[in-house]
Amino acid sequence: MLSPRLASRYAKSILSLAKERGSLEETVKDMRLLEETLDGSKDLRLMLKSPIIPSDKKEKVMNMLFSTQLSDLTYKFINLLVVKGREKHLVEMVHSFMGLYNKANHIVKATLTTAIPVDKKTVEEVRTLLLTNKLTKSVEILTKVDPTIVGGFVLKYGDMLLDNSVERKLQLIKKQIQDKSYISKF
Amino acid sequence: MAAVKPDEISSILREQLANVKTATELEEVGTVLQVGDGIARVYGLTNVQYGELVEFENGVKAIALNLEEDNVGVVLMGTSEEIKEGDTVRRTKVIASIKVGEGVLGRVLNTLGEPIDGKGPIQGELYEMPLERKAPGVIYRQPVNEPLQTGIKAIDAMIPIGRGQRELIIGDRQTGKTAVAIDTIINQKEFYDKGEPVFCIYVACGQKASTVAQIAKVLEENGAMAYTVIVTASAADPAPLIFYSPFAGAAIGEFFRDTGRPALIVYDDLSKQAVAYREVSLLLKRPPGREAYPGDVFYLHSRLLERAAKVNANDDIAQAMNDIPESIKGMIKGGGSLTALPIIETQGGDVSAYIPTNVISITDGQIFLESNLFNAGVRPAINVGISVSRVGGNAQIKTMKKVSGTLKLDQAQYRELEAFSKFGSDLDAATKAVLDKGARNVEMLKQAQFSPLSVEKQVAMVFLGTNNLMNAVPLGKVRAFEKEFLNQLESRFEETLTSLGGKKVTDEAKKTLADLAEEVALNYQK
Repeated sequence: MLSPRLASRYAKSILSLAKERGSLEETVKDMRLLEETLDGSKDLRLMLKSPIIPSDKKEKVMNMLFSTQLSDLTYKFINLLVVKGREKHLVEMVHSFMGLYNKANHIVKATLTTAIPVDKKTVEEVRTLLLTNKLTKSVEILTKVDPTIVGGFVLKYGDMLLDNSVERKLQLIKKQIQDKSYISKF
Repeated sequence: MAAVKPDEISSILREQLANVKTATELEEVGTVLQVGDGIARVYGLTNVQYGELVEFENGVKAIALNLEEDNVGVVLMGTSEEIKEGDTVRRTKVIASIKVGEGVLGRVLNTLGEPIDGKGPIQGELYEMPLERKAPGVIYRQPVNEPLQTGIKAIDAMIPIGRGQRELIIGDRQTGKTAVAIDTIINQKEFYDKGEPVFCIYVACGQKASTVAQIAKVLEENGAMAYTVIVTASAADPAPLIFYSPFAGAAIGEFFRDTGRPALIVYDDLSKQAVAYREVSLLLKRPPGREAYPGDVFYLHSRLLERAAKVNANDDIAQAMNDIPESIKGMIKGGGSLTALPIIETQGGDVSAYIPTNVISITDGQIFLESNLFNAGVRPAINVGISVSRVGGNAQIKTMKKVSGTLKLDQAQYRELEAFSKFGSDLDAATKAVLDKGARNVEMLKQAQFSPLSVEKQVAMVFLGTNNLMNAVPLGKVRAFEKEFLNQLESRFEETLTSLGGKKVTDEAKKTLADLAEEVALNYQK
């Protein structure tokens, strides 16, 4: 995220407008779709960010991709970005929008990273664990597979991180051996 | 050496591993938005505190200095090369601190307290001392009442420094600012040998690494490293390390101060520190003020120099002192002191620039060094007319106070007449006498580098100067006379010499000094 302040300004404006028009659910659905598409396609992200591709071409591409699927408001929003020359920040804005929406509705986004793919049951267990916090109404869990953590899991939600990976433990052991802090003080 | 059995190694390792803690804790994290110029902007870290240490994935530490609405500005205490956008940053929940103990003496450390002299890790028990700490409050202090002997005649006689004082050393480049400070450190050897050491900390802040190596060598050769620590952040280090290095030095000084011992800290130099702070502030997008320094550059120096203090001699009061770090609670003793000798380099003798005026107003006096005096051969090149010490007078030893009483005035008179006498050659006897005395005193106050004098010898020389006892000696031979006089005094009248360090210059001692001066002077007449 290059400029969080810029992104949050645009996100706030579309959020409040959607609320005012009573089309919040629709807009959220659109934003989810945008988020998924953008997160899934690196080419699309690069195209939006590219300073070489002219805006009208970007607009055409977005048009072809989303014109049938997006609601009027979201579509206008993308057009506004193109007019303002801010289309390269779309990704951040979408993330920022989802962040604002999630915060307002007490939805927590969590990322579960493991070395091997996990089954649904474990994910559900993590979900129930996170739901024990009374302020959390629902949890969205994204699972990631990262063999470099060797084993264990890393759970990140909001600004909190529970790093229970083997890699982190090895790091801690290395550090403690280097500092000799294992020698108990008398 | 007996061969090590493999099972011994593995048993040790097992024992060590058994004590290793790997419990997982919930951590607070953020992600790097932007990194460069020794600054990183971090998204997240919502609960981070001002001045807290944060850690990057590759182990580089940073200090949170800007807490903004949507991001946190941190200054890196290492290189930014391996840090990428999107990296995780963890809170450590501790504020920046360094580890201090008796083992730091004789070592060269960096701002983070890591030894960089290649002599291995610091030995002995270490205590965590925070870099930023509030200075002791009013009731935990007491007035300056003990002298800090610099071993330099001109300073100890006319600009005396007391323990717990902050005396600025200011002057252009190449005027001997560092030399004054180093001589002062070397002079503390006398007290170290006596078993009542003044622990010294030399903070090289933005200096050339070669200069620091040179100073370490000089201190080593003069036997001063045994009670000295060098804290260095060279010009090649990142700006945050440079501007935090005086704070690291102060943390070490506070360890000695709060455990009831005297310490001396030299900040060499604070103008470079201010420049490093300006760099960081501008990169953090804080608004620039006069000379592009940020608005809080005064506070930067004032809070640092306030930490120099003379702690109340009463143990109970000292133990109640504010903001004592957890690690040294229970070791606190009263009566300790931290004397600060900040150094400021001026450009072309301009003391009305921003940083010099700030620091002059913060300190309890200043020693002005001038390049024209230096070039005229007056070394140390102290301009006694504008150098002052606001509190040191109370701490001067009695005999020195007595004999040096008129010296400053005499010299002021001399300088006034000196300019005047250049116009004509016909002078009355009184004027001539003042000029003669003044010129001899200027010679008498000259002193070679790395040759501090004990206070007794200084009293003897100042006594000769103020009482016109060197009139018979030609101007060019005053220094040779001084050498022989002090030699004779030491070998023949040791008792008289020791008595000069006492409460009063007895009539007997006065007579001995006068007689000896007359005797030695005979050898130096034309």
